[in-house]
Amino acid sequence: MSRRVGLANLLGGLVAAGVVAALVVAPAPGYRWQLPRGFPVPKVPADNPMSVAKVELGRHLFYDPRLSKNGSFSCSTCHDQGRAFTEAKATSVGVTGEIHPRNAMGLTNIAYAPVLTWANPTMRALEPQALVPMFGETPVEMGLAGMEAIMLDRLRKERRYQLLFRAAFPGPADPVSLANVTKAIATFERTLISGESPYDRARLGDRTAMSPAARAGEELFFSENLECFHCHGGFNFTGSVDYVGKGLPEIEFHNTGLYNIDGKGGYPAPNTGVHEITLRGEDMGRFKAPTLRNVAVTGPFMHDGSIATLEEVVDHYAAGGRTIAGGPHAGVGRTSPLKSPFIGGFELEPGEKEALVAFLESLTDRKFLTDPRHANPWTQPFDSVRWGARRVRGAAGGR
Amino acid sequence: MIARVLSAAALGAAVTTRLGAAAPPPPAPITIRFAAVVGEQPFACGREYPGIGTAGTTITPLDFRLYVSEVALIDRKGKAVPVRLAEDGVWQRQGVAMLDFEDGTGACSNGSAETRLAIEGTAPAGDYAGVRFTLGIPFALNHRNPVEQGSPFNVTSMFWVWRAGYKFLRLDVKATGPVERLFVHLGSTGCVAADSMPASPAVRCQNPNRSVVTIAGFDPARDTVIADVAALFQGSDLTANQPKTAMGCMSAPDDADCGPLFDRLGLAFGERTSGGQQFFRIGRGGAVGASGGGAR
Ligand code: HEC
Ligand code: HEC
Repeated sequence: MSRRVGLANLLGGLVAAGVVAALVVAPAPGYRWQLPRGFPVPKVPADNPMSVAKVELGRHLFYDPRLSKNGSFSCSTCHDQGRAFTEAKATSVGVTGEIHPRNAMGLTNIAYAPVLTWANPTMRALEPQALVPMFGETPVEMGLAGMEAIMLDRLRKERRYQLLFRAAFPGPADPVSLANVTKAIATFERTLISGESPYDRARLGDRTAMSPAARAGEELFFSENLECFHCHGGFNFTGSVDYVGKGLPEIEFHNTGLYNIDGKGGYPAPNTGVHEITLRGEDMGRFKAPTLRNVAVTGPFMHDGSIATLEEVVDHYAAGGRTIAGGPHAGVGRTSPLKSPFIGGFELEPGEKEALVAFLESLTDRKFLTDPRHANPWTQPFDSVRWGARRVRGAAGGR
Repeated sequence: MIARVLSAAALGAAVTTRLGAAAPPPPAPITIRFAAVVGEQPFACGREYPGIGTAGTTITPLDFRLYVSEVALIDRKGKAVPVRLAEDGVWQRQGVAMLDFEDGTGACSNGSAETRLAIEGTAPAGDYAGVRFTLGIPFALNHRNPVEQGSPFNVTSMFWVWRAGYKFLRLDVKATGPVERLFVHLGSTGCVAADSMPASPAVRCQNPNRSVVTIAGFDPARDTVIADVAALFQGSDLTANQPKTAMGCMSAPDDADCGPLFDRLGLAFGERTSGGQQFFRIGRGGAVGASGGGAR
């Protein structure tokens, strides 16, 4: 397909020059969030309000391998629902076999995240973020750079999309545009809300929901001795959070002393954290603290998947930073000058490590991991009449 | 291919005679032609070019596109006169032009059949003896959501979303050495979000990496701006790549492979200032210009 045609198709979301679409405190009219009790309303960009049709379209796109160079990868390849939308690999592998330097992140409650990915302070919204796996080349993930016209053509041929794009983006313009693809995917991602773990049930009064060990672990987690809550605090167990009525969003990055390869707090390239983006020395090793909701199913852990189990994560914090005895990454994280003051180390009594891990496990929301609303729609029946197909004989039933 | 636009000098001359010297000369159409070469050879996808870089490596193109902006002609008195770029909805918008030297053939399979070897615009008629442009996209246009922009800001191959901007220059080649592929991706680095503006990734960048290129003696009616791949790689050893960095140079300040390339792009790299850009040069008369402008 020629560039001219391809480019024209991409003009779907053309906005006035120089204007960056602003995020606005706008609960979408007509859309009903289904939020766990006590959860705030997520912020949504003013130019991409929530709608049921957009969620359904976004879910189809999220699970669609047509969004990759050779039809073998979808977002769900690395973001698997059963693992809270992460994967078992230490670091991801893209469609061309290129190894990503970092671990795939979970998407639990991503609607509340004011900053995205492990350590990029400029990445502020889900819509543009979706372009990174699709078109990024450092590393190649889905490998679509230069293939947007082919990709959109593939989508146009799919009958479900003919209905869903129209339902999600009514109006005269061709709705199958890259802008609308990213809007729909972001809208689906905002529905990935998890708040029905045993911990949540206990909070709402169900005294049997958490084991005694998990309750003991909860006390440890919120203690000034362990300090976990300083960085993993609040309803979403992360210090980086935003929602309607929050006022100022909070964006935090911390160096937890995971590495100290040069005695000056250095992290191994290219995973130097916020420093990789800003190039500022003081940003070395600073990463976003991920939400700990569903953390028990998201291993291996940390930005590079370098810790296999939750027990070892606790050991890292107890030591006040990890020590690596030999090899290219050798170093004593405990003595890193760049480490956060909240990573001071602590001693645990017998049984306390197990308790802390039991608490982290009580944050697993089984319903979220199996919820059919978040699952692969391509293996589910499709109600074409609901999405606008004329009710004529033979029209119902999807593809 | 591109229809040659009216010779600006001829048109300019006609207009000046009619209006006299007092009134500012009215704008006349102007075309600034570009051509890509690899040393003495015209650049073409699918061709092999031996003897590149300090180790004499053989390379084959994979991609070659770039953005230029802030285009001006230099008059006989040395004054820069801005060229107003045409808005064609495809290659040029808001004072930025994309040049595209690959044609989607050979190993350039991720490219496009269309090429673009000229900048079109208007400038006051005059007697010009130089051209100046910036290799790059101005800051104000570089950090917007790319899918909400018109062409050429929506070309996904030029997206650089994780660095919060665009690739200003993309030159990808296959090589016959131990390093099989080399990428030259130029763009701004060290960009930080303004913390008080959570809504948008409003950023400022430590290393803007925009190179201002001036080519003296350039007569738009006659000459061509030559972008020379061999000259760009001249100081680089294409058989080596610093471990744990991008293959080639993706503008990372800790990637020493960028040093000689930045030098030849006219950009400072770390503490090192450039000895002056050598990537672009003047192509006199029709010779190289004709091969670049008409061959494909
Ligand atoms: C090849 C595996 C892979 C694919 C495919 C992939 N991702 Fe990711 N995803 C990752 C990795 C790795 C990270 C961490 C990136 C980083 O920090 O640089 C990530 C991070 C994210 C984040 C940030 C989460 C957070 O907590 O900040 C979002 C959102 C996301 N991906 C969405 C998507 C979407 C949408 C798609 C499909 C368009 C997708 N991903 C496809 C591997 C993948
Ligand atoms: C100074 C802030 C800070 C403190 C205090 C802190 N964390 Fe973290 N936590 C982080 C950051 C930042 C990361 C990601 C670090 C990285 O990948 O390099 C992280 C990662 C984790 C992970 C891995 C998550 C994943 O998905 O890979 C777990 C589990 C965790 N922390 C648990 C805890 C526990 C338990 C405590 C208390 C003992 C604690 N944290 C204290 C900031 C903190």
